[in-house]
Amino acid sequence: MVLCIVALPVFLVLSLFSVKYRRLTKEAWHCLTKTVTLRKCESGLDTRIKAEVTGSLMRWPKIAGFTYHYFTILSWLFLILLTASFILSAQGAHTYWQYGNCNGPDSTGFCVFDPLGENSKISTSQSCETVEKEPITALANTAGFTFGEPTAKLTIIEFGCYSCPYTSNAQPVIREVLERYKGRVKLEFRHFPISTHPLARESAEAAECSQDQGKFAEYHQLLFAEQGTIKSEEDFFNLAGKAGIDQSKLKECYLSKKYASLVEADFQEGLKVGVQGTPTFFINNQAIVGPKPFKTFKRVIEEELKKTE
Amino acid sequence: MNPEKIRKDFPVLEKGIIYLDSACMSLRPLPVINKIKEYYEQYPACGERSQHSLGKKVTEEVEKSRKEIAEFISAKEKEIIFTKNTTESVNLVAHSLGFRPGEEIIISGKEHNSNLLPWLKQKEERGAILQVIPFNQEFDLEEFQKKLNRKTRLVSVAHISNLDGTSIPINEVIKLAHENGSLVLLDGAQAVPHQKTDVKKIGADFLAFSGHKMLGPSSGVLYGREELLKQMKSFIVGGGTVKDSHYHFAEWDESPAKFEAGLQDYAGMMGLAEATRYLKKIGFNEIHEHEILLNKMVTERLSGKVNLVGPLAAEKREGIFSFNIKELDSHLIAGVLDKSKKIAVRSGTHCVHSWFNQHHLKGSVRASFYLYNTMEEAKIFCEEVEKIAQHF
Repeated sequence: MVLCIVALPVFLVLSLFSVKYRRLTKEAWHCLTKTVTLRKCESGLDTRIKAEVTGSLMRWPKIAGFTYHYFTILSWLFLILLTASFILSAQGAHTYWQYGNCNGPDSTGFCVFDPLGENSKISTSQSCETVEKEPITALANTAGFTFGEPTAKLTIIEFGCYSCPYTSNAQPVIREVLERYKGRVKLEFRHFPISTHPLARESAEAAECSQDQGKFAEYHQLLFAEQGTIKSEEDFFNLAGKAGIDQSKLKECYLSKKYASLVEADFQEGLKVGVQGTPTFFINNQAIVGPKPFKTFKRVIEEELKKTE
Repeated sequence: MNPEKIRKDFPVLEKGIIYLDSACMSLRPLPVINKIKEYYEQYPACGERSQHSLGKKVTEEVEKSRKEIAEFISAKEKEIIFTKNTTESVNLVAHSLGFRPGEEIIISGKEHNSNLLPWLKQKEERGAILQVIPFNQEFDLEEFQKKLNRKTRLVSVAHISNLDGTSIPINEVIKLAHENGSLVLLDGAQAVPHQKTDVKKIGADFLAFSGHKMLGPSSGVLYGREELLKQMKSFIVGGGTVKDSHYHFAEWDESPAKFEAGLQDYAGMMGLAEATRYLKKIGFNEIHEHEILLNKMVTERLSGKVNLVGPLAAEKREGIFSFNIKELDSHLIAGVLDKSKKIAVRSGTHCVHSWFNQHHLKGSVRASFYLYNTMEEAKIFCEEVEKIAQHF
C-alpha cells in the first residue's frame, strides 16, 4: 500500500508534464483504493516499481539486494519525507503568499518562489548591519518633499534616484500605497543619486528647482515617466514645459546650482543610514530595499500602524 | 552458423538489447522487412480480385508465397490456409469440424490457452467432452492410450510446450490416435520455427503455427489435409469465400478460399514466405544445434541456483529455459533483468494458466533462445540471474 501512496503524488506531478504517467497515476489510484479497502491490488504496479528501482541498482548487487529486502521500510521513509516536504512546501507557499517570503516575515533565507530574494530584503535597523549604519532617527525630519497628507502618522522615507530604473519601477506601488493608506501614510522623497547613472545628480537638482514653482510632484512623476528619453540637461528644461513649469526659471535655478548642496546632503544622510542602492525605503526602523510588491509594504505598514494608532 | 553475421540482419539488435523472448515473438530480419516494404511501396493493392497490373502482381506474389510455405512443411498449396495466428487456426478447426454432444477431444496438460479455450468452448456450447492427459516432465503416453476411445474425435496437442520447451512424442501420439480413428491437430507454434517439419512424414491431420515466432510478420497458418478441408464448413465468411451468392443462398468456394474471408494480409503472407526462405538458407540443423548449445551452457551454469521448470536435460527443453528464483515474483525478475542489462525475457504464466494453477505456482521466468542469440549474451544473462539469486 505504501508504494501506491508514494507513487500517486509522484506520478500525479509527472503526469502534468508527460501523458505516459497519466495511466500510471490512474493505476496507482486504483491500487490505493483497493488496498485501503482491504482488496488485492492486481495491477502489479508495486512489482514494476520495485523492479525498476532494484534493476537500476544492479551495478551494485549488494545495494540492489538490500533495497529489495527493505523496500517496504525504505518506502515508508520516503513517504514520511514526501509528506514532510509536502507540508513544508504548503507552509512555504502560504508564507510566501502572506509575506512575500517562504520562510517567514523576518527571514532572508532562500525561497524557491522568489529565488533572487527580491521580496525578502526587509531588515530591521537592529539586525541588518549591511543596510543600517545609524538609526533611521538620525535623518533630518523635513528635508525631502512629502507626498500624501502631511498629517498622516506614518512616514515612509524613500531614497531614490531619477536615473535608476529600479526606483522608477517602484513608483506604481508607491502610488498604490499612498492611495490605499490615504491620510494614514505619507512618503518623503530623499535624493540618492547613484554616481554610475548618467545625469542622476543633475536630475535631482532639477527636481528641487521645480519645487520653486510648486511643481515638484508633477516634475518628479515626469522624470520617472520619461526616464529613458532624458539624454542631456536640455531635456530637463523641455520636460519642465510638459509639467507646466516656467522653463527659463527652472533653467536659471538649475544653472545656479542652487540645490546642489541639498542633494549632496541627502546623499550623505543616505550613506549615513546605510543606503547602498536605490530605491531604499525606511518605515520607522524597517528597511525595504528595491522595488517590492504591495503586500510587502502592506505587511510592514500594518505592523507600524498598529504601534502608532 | 555464424550468429554474429546473422545479427547484422536484425536492426533492432543495434539497440543493445539481449532478446530472449523469441518464444513469444521473434525478431524480423531485413529481407522480411524489405519484402513487406516492397508490397506497400510497389504494389499495395487487392489480390485475387482486381484485374489491373498491381492486382495481378499481388495475386502472383500471394500464390508464390502459398507455394513456398506449403513446400516449407511439405504440404500442397491447397492445404495452406492463411490466418491471423495459431489461435485463429485452432479456432477454425474447432468451429469447422462441427462437434456433436458426447464427442471427445484430448489435449495435453500443458497447453497454451489457444489450444485449451477453443475446446472448452466446444464443451460448453456443443456438449463435447474434454480429456486432459497429464504432462509434467514427460507426456503420459500410457494415460493417453487409456483415454483414447471410439468417441475420441480429435487429439489436439502442442508439439513443443511454450512453457518449458518439452515435447510430446508426436509419432506415437499420432500413430495411436490414427489407429483409434481420431484426427490429430498439432499446435506447431514452438516447433515449426525451430525444426524441420514435414507434415506428410509426421502424418498430422492439421498443423497450426504462427509467422511471428519464425522471423515473419504477425500472421498464422493452418495446414489441413486436403480431403478434410473439403468436408469442413467455413469459419468466418465474407468476400472471397464464395463462388456466387444470392439473397437466400450462397455457393461456397473451394478450400483454401472458403476459409480466407475478406481482404487478406498480403504483406504478411509475402513476409512469411520470405522468412521461410531465410530459415531454409541457414538450415534447421544449425539453428537447432545452436539453441541447444546455448541452453546447455545456461542450464549447466544456473542449475542449483534457480528452480528449473521442466526436465534438467537441456536437450529435452529445446531453446527454452524456464525458471524461478526462490519465492521471487517472476515479473520482478524480468523487470530487474530488463532494467539492469536490457535482457528481454517473458514472465508470468505464459498463457498456460491451467498448468500453473494445477501445480500451485504463480508463474515462471522464461528465456527462449533463437538463431540470433550469442554465447556472450547467454553469459550476461547467467551473470545477472546469479546476482539476483545471490543478493535478493
